[in-house]
Amino acid sequence: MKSIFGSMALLLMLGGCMGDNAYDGENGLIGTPGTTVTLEGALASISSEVLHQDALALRSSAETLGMAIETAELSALREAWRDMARAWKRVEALYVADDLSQTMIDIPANVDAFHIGNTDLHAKLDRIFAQSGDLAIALFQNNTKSINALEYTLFNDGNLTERERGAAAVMLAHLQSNYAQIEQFYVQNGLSGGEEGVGVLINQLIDSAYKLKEWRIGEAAGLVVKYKDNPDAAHFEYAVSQSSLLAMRAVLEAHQAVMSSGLSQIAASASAAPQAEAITTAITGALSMIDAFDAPIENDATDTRIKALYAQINLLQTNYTALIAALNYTQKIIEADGD
Amino acid sequence: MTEALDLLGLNYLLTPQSRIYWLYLLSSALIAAVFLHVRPQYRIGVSRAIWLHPSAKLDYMYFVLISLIKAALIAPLMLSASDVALWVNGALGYREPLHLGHTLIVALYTLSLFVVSDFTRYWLHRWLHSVPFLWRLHRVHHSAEVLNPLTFYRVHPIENILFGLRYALSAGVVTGVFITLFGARIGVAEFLGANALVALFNLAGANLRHSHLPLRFGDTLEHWFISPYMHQLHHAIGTTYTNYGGALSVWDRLFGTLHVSPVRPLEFGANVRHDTLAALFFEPFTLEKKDEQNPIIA
Repeated sequence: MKSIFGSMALLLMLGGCMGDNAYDGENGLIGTPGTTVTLEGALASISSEVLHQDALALRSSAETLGMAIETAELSALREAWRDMARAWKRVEALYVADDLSQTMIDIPANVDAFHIGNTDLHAKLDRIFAQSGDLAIALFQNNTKSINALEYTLFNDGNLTERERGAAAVMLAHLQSNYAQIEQFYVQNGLSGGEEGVGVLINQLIDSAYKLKEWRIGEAAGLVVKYKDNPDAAHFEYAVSQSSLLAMRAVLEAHQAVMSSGLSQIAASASAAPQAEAITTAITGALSMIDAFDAPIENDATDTRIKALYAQINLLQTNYTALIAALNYTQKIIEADGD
Repeated sequence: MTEALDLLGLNYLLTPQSRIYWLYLLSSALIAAVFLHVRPQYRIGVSRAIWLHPSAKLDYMYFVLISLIKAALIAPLMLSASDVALWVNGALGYREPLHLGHTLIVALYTLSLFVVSDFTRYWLHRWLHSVPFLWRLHRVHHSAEVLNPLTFYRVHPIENILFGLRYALSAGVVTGVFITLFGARIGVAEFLGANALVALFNLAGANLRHSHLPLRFGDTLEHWFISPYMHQLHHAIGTTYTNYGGALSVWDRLFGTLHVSPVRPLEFGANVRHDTLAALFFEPFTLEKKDEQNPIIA
């Protein structure tokens, strides 16, 4: 009897595997073969229209700054830096290259020193600027060549000495090298693999939303445990250049671009359109809140609007989590039955 | 059209997550055919006397009515597993997702959903027998004197709500934990459009649990899984307080309620009769006679 039962079960399993609905390890999220193309297409669209285009824009912004670095007025350099910072924040917000390849893991830390380590970067740079040795040697550490180091170099006071200008050139060359790697990577690689690709993307969006909320807003405004009731504008990401709002806006615009370039479509095809709509609404709301600031956010870290913005980004993070739940889950009426 | 099917319960035949999805019924029918070929003495178990027994007819009518009630009243009010998952995820807080292979994450999540759900199903089922008021509700299911696949749905609406809450809590907690650990890279391994393990369980003759065909899996498999005959023992007068498990017999073995025995004639039913739809719905709220108590607590 056991063998009869075993044979029957095996036959049924094999029969089921031959059907169109067989699980192939990748398409469980969407369910029907017809929409699988849409899923891969949407991921390809996000890769080419957002990830690669943003990387190209970053590289281009660095080239613009590079052309001006030797001779341009400080104000022009500052403007070019802001453009580059904006472009970098978009790339960083959607940085999935580290999930796709081990070789790309270190790039963000090479570029960006925000929230990394405890060393006083500004004091270190002041010492280097006061010395007269070879800048390429003095700036051997990655954080001294980061976008934050370049910010301090261009914005720490109203002047740009020749040594600081030389340091800025070294820093920019370092950044351009890393930007080029990112751009090249996205030429050859993108999101794929169906459910796995979507998972990587949403994880990055959640991570980005979390860090925007906690690191870029909450810590400076004294809204997180670490700095509870201890607001300090110096903790904003780009406090020196007073460009923190610009960075926040860039992060949210990157999220918006992903939603409109394919993620909303993916969600809709998996019956999660309401969750995608909630995300889009949360992003739009947060952008409106940022636009409502008529002065640099660094001017007043106790501004009550910052707390509202923090709450809005928290909502965004929650909505992304709700999207995960919706993509993986439907209430099964069978489970309401007994036995 | 879809809503009409929902209300009549006919959508269950077309839904892979449903116990009576047509393919699961077909697989059970095939298994039954083979079983009866080998053991023709049990053909009485699929005779008209069984299918047209008053208790079976009551099951059919009740299925339509309870489907309507579930679709119209219960489902819209049920706590969602997604909501529980979000709450759990929020309580655990954000942490960077662990890096494990996607296939491994999917396998772990699918297995966890299945095992945790089966565990909570065991305990709720056991409490339905051991808590006096819950037993009054649950004996709506046990008062069936003959068993057929639709007996699975002969469940009081309050019990439906309890099972729905159980599902929302168990699946929600598992999902919340997995989202915290792995973020959006979680996924369920699906087979026929349902959780692969649930689908396999259903394909393996789950509809014969409520039947008169004493199909056993053999001693070795019954050490781990509940066979149709083991569930029939649970429905039999005298051994109702054993074999509470859904798919796995592990819980019964761990908690001392496992009952495995050679095939013998069984008499089904509870210590109360439900002859009408009204009785199924309202009898649990009437005054109880002493001889109607569950033997386990009497």
